[in-house]
Amino acid sequence: MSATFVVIGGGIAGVSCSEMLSFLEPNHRIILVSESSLIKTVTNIQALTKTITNFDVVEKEAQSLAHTHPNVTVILDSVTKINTIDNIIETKSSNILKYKYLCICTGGRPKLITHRLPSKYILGIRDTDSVEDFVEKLSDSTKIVLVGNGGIASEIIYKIRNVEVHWIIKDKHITATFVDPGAATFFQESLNQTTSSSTAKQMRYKEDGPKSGAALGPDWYKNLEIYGALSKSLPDNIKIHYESEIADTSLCGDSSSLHPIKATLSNGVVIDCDLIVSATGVLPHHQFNIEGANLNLSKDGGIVVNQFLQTSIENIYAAGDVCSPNWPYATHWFPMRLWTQARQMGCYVAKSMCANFNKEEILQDFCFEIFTHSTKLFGYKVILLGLYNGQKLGQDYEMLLRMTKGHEYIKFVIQNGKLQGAILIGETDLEEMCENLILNQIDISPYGTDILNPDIDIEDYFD
Amino acid sequence: MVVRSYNDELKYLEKINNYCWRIKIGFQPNMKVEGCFYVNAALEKLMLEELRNACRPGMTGGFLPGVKQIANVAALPGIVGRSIGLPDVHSGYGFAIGNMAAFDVNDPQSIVSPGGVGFDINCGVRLLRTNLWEKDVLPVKEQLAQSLFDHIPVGVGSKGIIPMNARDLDEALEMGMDWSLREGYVWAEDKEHCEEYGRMLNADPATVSMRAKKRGLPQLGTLGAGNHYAEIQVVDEIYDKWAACKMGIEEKGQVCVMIHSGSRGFGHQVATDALVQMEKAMKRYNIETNDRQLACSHINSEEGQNYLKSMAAAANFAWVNRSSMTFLSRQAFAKQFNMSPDDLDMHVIYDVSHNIAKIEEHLVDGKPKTLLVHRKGSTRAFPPGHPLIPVDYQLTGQPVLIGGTMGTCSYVLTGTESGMEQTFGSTCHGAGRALSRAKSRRNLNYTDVLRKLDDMGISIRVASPKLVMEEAPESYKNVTDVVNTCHAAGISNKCIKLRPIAVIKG
Amino acid sequence: MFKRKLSALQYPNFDAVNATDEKQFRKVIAWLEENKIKKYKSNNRPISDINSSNWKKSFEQYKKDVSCPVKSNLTIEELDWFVNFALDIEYLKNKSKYDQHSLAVLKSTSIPNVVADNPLDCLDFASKDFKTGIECIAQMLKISPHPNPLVTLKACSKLICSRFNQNAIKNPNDYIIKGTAFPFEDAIKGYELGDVVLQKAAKCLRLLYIQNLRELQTQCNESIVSVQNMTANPKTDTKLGKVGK
Repeated sequence: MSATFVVIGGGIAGVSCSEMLSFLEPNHRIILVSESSLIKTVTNIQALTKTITNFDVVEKEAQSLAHTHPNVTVILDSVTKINTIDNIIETKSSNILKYKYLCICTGGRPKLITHRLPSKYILGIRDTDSVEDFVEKLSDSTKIVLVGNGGIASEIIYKIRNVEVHWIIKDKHITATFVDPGAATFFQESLNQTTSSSTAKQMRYKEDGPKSGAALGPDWYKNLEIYGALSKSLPDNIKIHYESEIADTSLCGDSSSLHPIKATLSNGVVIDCDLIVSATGVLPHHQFNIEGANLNLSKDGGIVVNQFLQTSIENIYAAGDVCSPNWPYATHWFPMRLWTQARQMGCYVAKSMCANFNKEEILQDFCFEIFTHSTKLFGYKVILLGLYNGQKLGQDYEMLLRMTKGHEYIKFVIQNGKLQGAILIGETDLEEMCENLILNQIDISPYGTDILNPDIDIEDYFD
Repeated sequence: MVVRSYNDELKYLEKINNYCWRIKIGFQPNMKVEGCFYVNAALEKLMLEELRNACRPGMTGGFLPGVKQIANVAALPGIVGRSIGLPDVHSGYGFAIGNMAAFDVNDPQSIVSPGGVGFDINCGVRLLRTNLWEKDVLPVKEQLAQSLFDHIPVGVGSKGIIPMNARDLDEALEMGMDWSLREGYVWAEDKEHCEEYGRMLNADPATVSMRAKKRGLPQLGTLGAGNHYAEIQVVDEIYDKWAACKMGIEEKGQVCVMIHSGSRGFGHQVATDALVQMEKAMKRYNIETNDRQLACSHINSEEGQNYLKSMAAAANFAWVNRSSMTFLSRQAFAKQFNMSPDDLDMHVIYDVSHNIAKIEEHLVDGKPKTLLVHRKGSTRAFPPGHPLIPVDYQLTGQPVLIGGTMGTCSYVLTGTESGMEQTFGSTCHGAGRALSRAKSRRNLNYTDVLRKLDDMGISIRVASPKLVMEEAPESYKNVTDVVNTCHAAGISNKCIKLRPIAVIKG
Repeated sequence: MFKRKLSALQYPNFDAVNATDEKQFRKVIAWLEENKIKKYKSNNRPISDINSSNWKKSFEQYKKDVSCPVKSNLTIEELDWFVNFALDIEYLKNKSKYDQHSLAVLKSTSIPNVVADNPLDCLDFASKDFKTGIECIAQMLKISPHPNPLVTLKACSKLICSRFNQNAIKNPNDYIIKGTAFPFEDAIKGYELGDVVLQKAAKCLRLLYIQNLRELQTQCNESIVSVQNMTANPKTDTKLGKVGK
């Protein structure tokens, strides 16, 4: 089989890329190689500003993509070899696919803590299959250890019920990947409140065969019910261990113990538990051989790409968690392995390949000018803009805050009188103005703290 | 900045008549001409309240009240006539939103200021008529709203249905609506009912920065965030039967579609780039202003000309945006009613610009003069017989489209001879904000807003729930007050009132 | 540029005339006067002396004498005027000869010469009968008569041609202008001329002017549409159903 464009990976990046290619090149054949019979598609796109987009990810039966996009063929298989001389890929089931352009969107795999335990006691969460596994295991557990401080760990903490959780974080405050200590304090309020659990229907389809799924999308937990084996939530069922890591793990060996395993923390604390959950982020995932040329890899194993998301091999591109962007970043942008960037890269890589194919000039998409991420944490809408935690700025910036308990939390990162980044939690309505202020670099020093004065209407001032 | 008590400030303000106040020279330093603002009793209260607040001790710096901003504009070099505040005026960057000012092109000192145009260049409103009646649409309004929602990609930056690459963009920037015409997205008749025929001829894409182009690129065919929207409306009242008739509006209950959008991120970048250039130019040419935000340059300087050319490109971009949305709206209606847009008589009634600067001929003290007219949050309203208005409106005067907000009415006005004399043919642009959002948050209950809109029979589609709150009718200067003030002051005539039945928010 | 004209005048060496050359210019002027224009008597032609230092002065006088309106710094226009003047004289001299080849004559010779037995050809347009007759027709057609009956006749003819042709009689609805009458006397504002009749006339002129403009605009739109037919290619999602005009 052959196609003009071959895309590897059924996650957000790969599917976005295939959809965009189909739209841009309706007369050319596109093959999507997915390991899983369920693929991730983005729906309900709501653009909040120029660069901030909210969307849902639903899993669909892989062939449905071929129905909505007639020039796309989906093959369920995993790639074993890429021959860059003949522009051919080989798969596990001995399929041979010839390509003009190849796009690698094979995503990432969960980082796991090093351990000496039988694998049933430890679980890395990253994709939907691992979540299913988690839900199943949790129903037999009364006490677990959760490691990691990113979005997924934060959401597990928020959604988990009827189980005692020990949350091990290496930072001084929770959800450090995304927010500052102030926002963490703001969030912590909601950790102690009981939220009404979702009873929405499960959106997952049944799937047979080998399991190797794509990354979680936003709101992956929305329709999940995560219940432990306890009959009800205890008042203090969440215990946070700050600035610590897991130093050692072992089986209890003592049959009188309530819990089968033991985790020893770097600060010496020992916790008995039923399960260790690791949600510590992802590493680039690519398990195929390359023949004929070498793909340049970065330190973390990501495939190095230039500003057109082109790898070191001319007609091979990469997008999403598997790649490591290597171009002079715009002042207010940096890469992060998030579904937002997976989608942006997926759409952009398609445009980029088409431009190369048609020998057209292409301008790098504007979404790489400013970091944005829109998500939900602890039940609040969270928007991260630009250098929202003062990234790249060192200590040389000031913060401007506004917080209403249980309602909103706004942080501006200001340097030289100009807005560099912002965290907007709650329904603040400020995202478009903040985005414009960051991009325009307008001097806001004359307004002083008035720019966040709740009595002043700022939103259409810069219209 | 002059510091005076509120009562001392009031000495510089004088009520000329029930609808107009004079701002005397001396209210702010270096005023070359007087200022004025149009208000009725209700709006007057809001206007003076804002000034009174700014006069409280410790309120220096920060945001200037609208009336101070009008006076600062009156101090700009080359200004002629008066610096005019329209009834919906409220503070903005540099110029207040709802401020218009004209500068003599033949005076070498005259300036052009990006702050006098605004960031969302050529933000404007377009109205399409249909030959459908409310009773035809009511039973299917949910589907129609859904269909419009499907067809009009909602929100800034969403992937437009109409694709556009870098070369297309350059052509569109130069050609404006002619690009949409050439590509077949709109009808020939649409062009004649657009201000400037949908194309500023002095647009030069070469003066536009690469960053602006990148910032504009994927946005076509999309609605903006915030106050950008499309609405299905019905005619609620006809004030001027003959003028309405000329617009193809015959009876109450007729269905129209209103599209509200601008140049968005692209305009922001064009304005920002110009502001940087002009700050430098001001030093070079020794131009002094009362407010740093009033960065400007001489009209005939390189910086001034470059700004006017790139602003024109941004204006063209906005027309392409509105044209793309026109195309998509027609498709949505055609699909719903299974009739061609032609058979649905979906003609463009008119298309107005709210944020723009244009070269126009006006009479100043009885003498014809070429002026650069800045209109920020203000609409051109030319009288009957003016050569620059479409032939179909030669007898009625130029239609002026005033967008309300979700749940409130919109209006069609017409330009008047008196407006030509008083305000250089300018009138209001819509509702202005009176309460801040935070205040309205305290005063409004979210569910109440939704319930209230629901009671009015409006089907609401929001890209995010926050918009219902943000654009809630209560937080605006009442559009009816604004329009009535313009009518009473004679700067425009009321013609048609429209009531929304479905809203698609961006 | 004078090649054809000069050759018609049988000017010797007409191929080589360069009007911007002062000497040649004088030569042509002198030749035209001597052979064609003959304004002066043959013994008194100061402009024939083309080498004279006074030639320019004589030429100015000559221009006055033949009433040449062209300003003196425009050499080419001057020459053109004199060549045309000479051609005029030549033509008038042999009018009958040249007229045989005129278009009107050529046409009439190709048509059999019919004796006018059509009574309309013998009408006396100045007669009173003609005038009352036309006024009568105008009255029937509800056309206000013009003092000149020929103008009234033209108006009648226009109406009959457009509204009483075969198609119009068959499908009158295609020809009758629909819509609500516009109360132009009340609805057009801004004509305070003090004289009711003058005001009404001004408003009528205004309406006529707008109608002209409308026709022009419609023609513009038609040209745009015909160009669109070649250029339009809306790239959109065809799933939505192609809807164009």
